[in-house]
Amino acid sequence: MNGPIIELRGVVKKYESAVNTVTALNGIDLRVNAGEFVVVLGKSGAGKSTLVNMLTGIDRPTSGEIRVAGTSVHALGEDDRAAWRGRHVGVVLQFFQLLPSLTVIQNVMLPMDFANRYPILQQREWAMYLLKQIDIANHAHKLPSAVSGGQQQRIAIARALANDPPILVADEPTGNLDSTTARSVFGVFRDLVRQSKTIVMVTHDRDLARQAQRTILLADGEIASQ
Amino acid sequence: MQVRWYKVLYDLLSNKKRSALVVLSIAVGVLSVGLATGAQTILSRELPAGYLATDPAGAKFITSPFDDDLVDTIRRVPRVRDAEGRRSLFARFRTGPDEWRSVNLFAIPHFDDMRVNKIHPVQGNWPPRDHEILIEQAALGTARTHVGAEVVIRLADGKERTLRVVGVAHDQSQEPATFEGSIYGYVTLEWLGEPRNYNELYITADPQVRDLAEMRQIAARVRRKIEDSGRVVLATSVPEPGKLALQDAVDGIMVVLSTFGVFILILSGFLVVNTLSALLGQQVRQIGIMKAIGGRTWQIASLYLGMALTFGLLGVIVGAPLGWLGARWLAVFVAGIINNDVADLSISPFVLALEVGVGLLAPLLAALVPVLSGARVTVREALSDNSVSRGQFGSGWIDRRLRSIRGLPSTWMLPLRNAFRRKGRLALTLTTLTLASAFFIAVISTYASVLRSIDRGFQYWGMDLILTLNRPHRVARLEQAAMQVPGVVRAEPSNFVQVNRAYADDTEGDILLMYAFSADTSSVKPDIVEGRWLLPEDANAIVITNKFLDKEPGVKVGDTIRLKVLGKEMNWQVVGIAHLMMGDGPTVYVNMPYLASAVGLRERADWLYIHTAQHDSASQLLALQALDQQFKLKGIRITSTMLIADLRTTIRALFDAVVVVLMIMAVLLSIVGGLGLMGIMSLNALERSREIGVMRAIGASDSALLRVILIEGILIGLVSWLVGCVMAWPLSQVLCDAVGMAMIQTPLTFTFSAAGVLIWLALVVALTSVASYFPARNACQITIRETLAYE
Repeated sequence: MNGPIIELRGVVKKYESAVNTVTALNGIDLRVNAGEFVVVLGKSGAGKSTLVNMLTGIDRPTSGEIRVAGTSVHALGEDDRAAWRGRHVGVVLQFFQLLPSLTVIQNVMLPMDFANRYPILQQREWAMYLLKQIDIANHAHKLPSAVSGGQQQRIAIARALANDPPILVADEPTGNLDSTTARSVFGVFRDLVRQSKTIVMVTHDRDLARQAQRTILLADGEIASQ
Repeated sequence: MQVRWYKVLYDLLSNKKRSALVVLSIAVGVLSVGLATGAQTILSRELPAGYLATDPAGAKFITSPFDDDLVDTIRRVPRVRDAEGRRSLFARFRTGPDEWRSVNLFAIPHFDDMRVNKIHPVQGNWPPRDHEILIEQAALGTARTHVGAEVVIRLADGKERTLRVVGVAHDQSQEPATFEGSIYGYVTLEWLGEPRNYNELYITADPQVRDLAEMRQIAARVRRKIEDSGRVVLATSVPEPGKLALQDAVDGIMVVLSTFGVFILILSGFLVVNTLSALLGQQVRQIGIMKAIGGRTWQIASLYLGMALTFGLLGVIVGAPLGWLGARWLAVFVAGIINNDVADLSISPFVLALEVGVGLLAPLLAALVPVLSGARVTVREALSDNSVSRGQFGSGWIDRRLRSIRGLPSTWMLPLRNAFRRKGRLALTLTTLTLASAFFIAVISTYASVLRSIDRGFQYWGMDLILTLNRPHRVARLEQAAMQVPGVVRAEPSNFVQVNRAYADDTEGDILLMYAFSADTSSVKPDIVEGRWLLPEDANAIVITNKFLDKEPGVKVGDTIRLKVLGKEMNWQVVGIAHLMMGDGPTVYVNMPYLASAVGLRERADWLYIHTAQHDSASQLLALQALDQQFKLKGIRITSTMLIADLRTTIRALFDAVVVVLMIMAVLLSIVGGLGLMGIMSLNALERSREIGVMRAIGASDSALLRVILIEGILIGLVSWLVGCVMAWPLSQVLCDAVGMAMIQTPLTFTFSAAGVLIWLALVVALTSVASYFPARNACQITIRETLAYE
């Protein structure tokens, strides 16, 4: 692909409330090239999660354009964005968000099921491969409640990789972990970068942020520095 | 299997109690539909088939005596397929020491070669020989006899005969013996001393004759043939071809039951709505995640619709076989009430398909709105849902009214407000419970209305006993003989004849019952709704009834109708219309002196209405026994008797059977209501787990929490009771009308049952207490740590 894999142009996001209008993002211009590991830093309320929502298509901008992996995401409807997201973007959230009623391996297989990718047997093989990559394979048939927080986050990462997306977007993936586990999980992301994945990570941890290739500082809905 | 369906499976199994409640609720709905529809299809197939298998008479003629020659002649009348003569006579049957009941005996010439109105052996020997009798199956109870017993009958001439009951027969051509406490017996002719000839002629027509008008034409031809032979046709009956007399009543009751069944199924769907709404609410974050990882709205919706379908399937598996079994029981029960048999209890595949169809479709339809609404939540909304507990309170109109209530302790205020936090859910739960309330009270009110209608109907009868005599006797003689009996306060001689309406085209209508009374009679008190009652000076005045108008619609006060009375056509002017609640058929009233004179019975009567001082069954029986002895001494023969107290008991038993079936449906409805409430209270307690944990953390005891949840449940029950009482009024009227029209072709006298209101109040408090207690107890058993960690 020529050009950046992620491009935001003049993205504005405003939220209307009963009291006032809040501008969460105020004219964001951002380019991320394929294979980059980008960290977005900022204080609470800076607009980091909103930026993640824009990149992943979870939310739509009030104005501006968002092109990710060749698709004008801002122009898609809610359902089309979900389908697009399943194939092109792996999402990792702060609160692991694994489905409690499915086993570890079933959680990893779920995105493949939604995307209707691969026959079921192949889904199972690929999911087991992903779990082995993150050393969770021997917990494959357990429920999420039976594994630790760090393991759950690793599983969430494996799930994000289920459809082999070119891009991973992680919103505070280590926010709920102790420092040792956080470093371990961060290491997984570094490995993924080596595998040519593009990673955009939101974090408030400056120490971990220093390990990324590029840092974007977000303040009051604007890029303060990058 | 695709991995997404494992989520459905685990969600179903993760809360087995909740799933079981929903499945049970759907099962009750499927059972109810299957019960009513299955029974209806069996009855609509078997009753006509069983009836037609008896070769029912297309027409019946009550005539002066005739023989086989006339029967052969009639068989040659065009479009007459077959004909048969029988002798019918009334006698008295001893049912106990000094206790006699009327028996209608039929002497059948060839038991093994019956061609019309066939009767079938049920038990014992067939055919009866001399000194033997068969009893109709439905009359065994009234006759207080059994196969092998010896019975005594007293004929019109006073002679008594001993017969042995050798068998039981089934006769579908007669009104069920249980309806009036009648006895039907089947005997041979000669040994009784009766002449070997016939007084009733039955014919069947070609199978192509299905039209009543055409049947009447054939009947007219046969009548003329009989009259040409020098006999007199006293009355003609031409029923609707091929139709069982009580088919309309059965159909009416089955429609009411089917309606109940559909209602119950709809209400069971409400629990599906509430359960899935709550589940979707609880899993909103999971929905957000599924969308975040690529799940589309239709994929997520299909998961929860799949769950609804699974509930439905399980409900069908449980409910359909029970509905099938229940349908067979109900069909036999209803057929038994009208003295019919059901030969084939197989259920039509259509009914099974219907049960499966509604069992799957109802929960699916019920789930559509909550599922589509829940599945449409956006990822951002779903993932930002962080409230302590769901259900907003405060801004709505109802909330503001509740907030304005002052002075209530918190143990009442909290459950009162909690009940209204989920207004949609509350609305569905209340709807189910309210309808259960309304229907329960409506059924009790219907029963009360039945009792009142019977009372009102029996106000029509001012007398206590009806005696039918072997022949007309002088009126003065009858009065004098009767008044000498202790306990008798009044004796009214009367006449009764069966007549037919004569039309211009020489055809006749069906049999009408003509009662001739003195204008000042107190033996009957008909409710005159138009025109007037008879006057002493009336000549050919006639008062018709609603029962008459059912057969001969369109006749008005002032019209002249032509009736054939004992073979003689006479014009009668309609002076009044009376409304009969009860009654044995299409009744008309005429002035006794005029009728007696017109038919050559001046100052004579063959019916006697006796009024006794006491009106209970025992007193009536004593009076009858005394009259028996007195009349025997005077040489007056009684051929049949009727005690009004016995008639009341018989009619009440008939209605009781119908009310039992209605009560079964009301109970099923209450079960669905209770299941619904239990499910909702469980959901409410589960959703408020964190809130309960917070309350316990700040000092609330288990008993206080239990009280809050219990009171919430009972409050919901009380609201449903109140609203249900209001709804029950119009519903009761509709149900009363439906039952009345089905059973007696007239609406019941409506009575709203206060007892039903109080009974249901007690039941609903008990039901809601039980439904709330278990979820409350479960909520209190979870630790504070668990509840605060609940997500």
